[in-house]
Amino acid sequence: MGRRRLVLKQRIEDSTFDLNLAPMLDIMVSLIPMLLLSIAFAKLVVLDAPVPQPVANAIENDKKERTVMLQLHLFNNRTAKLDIIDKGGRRSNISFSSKEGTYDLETIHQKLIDVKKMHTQVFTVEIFPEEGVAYKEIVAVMDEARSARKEEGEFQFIDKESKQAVKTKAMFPNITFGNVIEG
Amino acid sequence: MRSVLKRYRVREVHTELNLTAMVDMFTIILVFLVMSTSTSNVQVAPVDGLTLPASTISKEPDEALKLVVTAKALYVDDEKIMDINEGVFDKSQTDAKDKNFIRPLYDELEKHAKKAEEIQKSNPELKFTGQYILQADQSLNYSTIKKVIYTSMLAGYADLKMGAAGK
Repeated sequence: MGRRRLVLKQRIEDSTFDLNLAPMLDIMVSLIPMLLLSIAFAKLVVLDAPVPQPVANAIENDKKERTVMLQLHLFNNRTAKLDIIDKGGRRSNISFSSKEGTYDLETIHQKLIDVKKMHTQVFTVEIFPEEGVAYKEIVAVMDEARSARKEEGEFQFIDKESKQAVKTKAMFPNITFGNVIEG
Repeated sequence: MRSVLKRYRVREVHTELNLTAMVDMFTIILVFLVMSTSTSNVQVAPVDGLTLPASTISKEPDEALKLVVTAKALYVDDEKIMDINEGVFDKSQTDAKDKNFIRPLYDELEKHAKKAEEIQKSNPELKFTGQYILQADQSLNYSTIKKVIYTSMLAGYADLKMGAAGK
């Protein structure tokens, strides 16, 4: 009985071994300095905001068949106004009051969704910030105008080339500064 | 007797370094570093006074001319070209007839544009697109940014990409 136990213990001892961790450690020591050098603590993203050249702008405007123009004015007192100008030059507008000392981003977003639902072929909005508006606020407004959120569904429009219905979350991804050239 | 004692002493000093804990630690560090490694073409150089606004967009930038504006200075491709007084350009830096025109910025951008056009001549694949990435401090007013955009546009840089920090 005693001998059997001894044999069993011997077998268990034989089946255990130490994993050689040195090569693994070598790899890690090589990888860590390389990764440390390429680490990015801040991730840069970009928002497209092409500014049309004056002449190019005029030509483009002639070429483009813009059915509806949207102009979003951001005022220094943190109120805003959305001008909707149709092809015939008829103008209607929506005003936004400020909220807690800044722009009412949620209301602006919701109204832009309503406008998008009415004009699904429009993807451009011109923004006209006044001089005292902070860059941070401009970016926040652009974020609200660019696309709908996950829970807000998609917008359907007819692709002119394929005549197919296309669904998209994009609202007004083409955002330009309308007042850069003004004095 | 002596030989037995000697063998016993040798056995006593034999030690082995336990690497398991160190490997554990390295594994955690490695995972963290792999997660935060940037694969972007454009790196954000740390500039004093630059805090980028946060944005929900996730589009990564392509290689382009970098223009950094803080309340204290203006940089083109990581090179400081002028000082700014708390977000306000000095009158000597702007044109007397056109207050939005910043002369030192225009001169610097014109140099870059000419250089890019020369490169394009020798290598047509590298086209000059007039694209640039504007990294402006979030607290700056539109009046400052507008002058920079306006001057850049006149220097041939009309395709503005606004830099922001990914959320």
